[in-house]
Amino acid sequence: MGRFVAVRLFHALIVLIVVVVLVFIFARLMPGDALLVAVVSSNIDVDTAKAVATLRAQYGLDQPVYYQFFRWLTDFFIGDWGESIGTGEDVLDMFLERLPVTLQLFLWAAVWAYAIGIPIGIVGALRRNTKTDMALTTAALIGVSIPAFFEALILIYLLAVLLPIFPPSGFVPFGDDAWGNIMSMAMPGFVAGTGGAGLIARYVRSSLLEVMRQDYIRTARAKGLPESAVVRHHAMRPAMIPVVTVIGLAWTGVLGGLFIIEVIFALPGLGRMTVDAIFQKDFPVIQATLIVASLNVLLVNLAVDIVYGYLDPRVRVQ
Amino acid sequence: MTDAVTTVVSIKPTALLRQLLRHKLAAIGLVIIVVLALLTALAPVLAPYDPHAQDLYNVLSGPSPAHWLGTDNVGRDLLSRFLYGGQVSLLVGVCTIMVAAVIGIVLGLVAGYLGGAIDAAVMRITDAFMCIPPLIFVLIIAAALGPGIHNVAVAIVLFGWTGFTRIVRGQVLLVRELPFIEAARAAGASPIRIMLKHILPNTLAPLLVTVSLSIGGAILLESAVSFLGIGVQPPTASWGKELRTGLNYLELAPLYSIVPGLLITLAVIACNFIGDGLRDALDPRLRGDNR
Repeated sequence: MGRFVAVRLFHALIVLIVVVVLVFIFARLMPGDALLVAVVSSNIDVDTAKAVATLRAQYGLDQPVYYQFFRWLTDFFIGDWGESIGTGEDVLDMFLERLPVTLQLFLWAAVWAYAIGIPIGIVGALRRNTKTDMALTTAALIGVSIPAFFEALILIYLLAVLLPIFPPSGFVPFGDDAWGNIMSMAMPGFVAGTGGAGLIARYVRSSLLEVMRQDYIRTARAKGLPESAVVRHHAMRPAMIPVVTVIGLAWTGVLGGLFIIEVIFALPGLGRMTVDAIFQKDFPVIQATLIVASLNVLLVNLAVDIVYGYLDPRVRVQ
Repeated sequence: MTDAVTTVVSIKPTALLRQLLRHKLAAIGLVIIVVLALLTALAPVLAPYDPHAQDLYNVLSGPSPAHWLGTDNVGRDLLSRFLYGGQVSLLVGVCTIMVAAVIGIVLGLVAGYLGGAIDAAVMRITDAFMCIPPLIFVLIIAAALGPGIHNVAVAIVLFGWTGFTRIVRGQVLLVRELPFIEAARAAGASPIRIMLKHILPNTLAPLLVTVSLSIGGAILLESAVSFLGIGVQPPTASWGKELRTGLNYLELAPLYSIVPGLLITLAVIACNFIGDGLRDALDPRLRGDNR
């Protein structure tokens, strides 16, 4: 197990280095334009070329690339994330300010995904090959496939335009108005959780079906246990082990969905900040979100791998 | 963490198609894709109006016998625009994945067959690409390259190869040590010949699943990027872009955004249905499941 963990950690470290380099390259693909935009939008009368040169010096873009890279990397890890080109705000501050909104959305999504996904998967497996199973399996697959922006659109049309139950968009901080906060997060949270719910339902179903085929389940039945006890005491726990792997997938999916969901529902979170930053070519902000998002996925996948290796010894021998 | 089958299966195309048609959801998916492809391919014949012809006296008119789905904010016929818009969405989905698949297959074959340091390098780079959220990846590349659907396509290709590399490499590792590869090597076949003639055919089954699911993913990515405003430039239509513009008129003309959204959803769902059907057809353990 120790060797297995060490190998995984080593791989993760290399992947991290590659990610950091990739992010650096991506962000460097755009800065020139951003500076020009910043100059043109701030002072119209100045000598543009000179002002851009000043700004290039200010952001360290006149230094050699390797120097920029290590400078950026060390600054990043000591918490100096630079300033936004658009607003001049400290990127770390911008980040921390918007983080609660995104975390809240993430939490809603996770709750919806598990609350819907696990029961659907269990019912589907127990009523295997019936009309109920067929309907639930199809629903799960649609849940995985439906684009977040289309689902959002339908929900907004039904529950905000036709029946004005929820606000169509906007965010109310929990501190200002708790009920308003819940109402403003319910729809986006649901949309963010749908894909994960479908994925979890599919994994739970196939995993439970696999377990129900095992000999020890037949033994449990043969000793006269009622079916509900067989499922609850003998099938559920082993069936949940493979479901661990889906956490990583669902996590990545939810994270990817947040960007567009925050834009549609006008939530002032990290996703919307990133999309805005991409349009403004605000590379310090883009760098920061890319690193944080990728690191997040990397760490979750690493944790899932290790937990899975711990739960299922067969994985370790690879 | 891959979703596709990991056993070595070879299957005849006709048998596969028959299996696929017996799988209810896959059959539905095939029908949807064929219908959508025909509708958009035949847009020049089917579309009642020129998709760019404006009629400023007749904007956001709502459904009528003249304009079945109504008109948009500058009086263009929505039905015609959706038919033409599908060409962009579907073509980008299929073409990007074809290119991405070739890149991914080559890298996967090389990594899996040669092993060692090359394998490690390719796989870590693949892992790194997979850490970055796809939408943000594509948005950044497309934004950096500048406006235009071609740049979105390039961005999708740059992201899309990763899934194929993983699947092919995994499959190569399964096949590599089998006796017939050893036989080929003993007979003096070159590594390239072994990769292309002996290993590649044995990776086709899971590849098909990945192709199908990836096309759905690419259609989704293109529409999301167009929805956010990068991608096709006016006056060209694409489903994602129409949806975005239509969203501004949700109360006045709901069909303006709901229909393109439905079309994207149908295309993506169909690809996933087919991918699922393929997986079931190719995975012997699941055979006999009645669906």
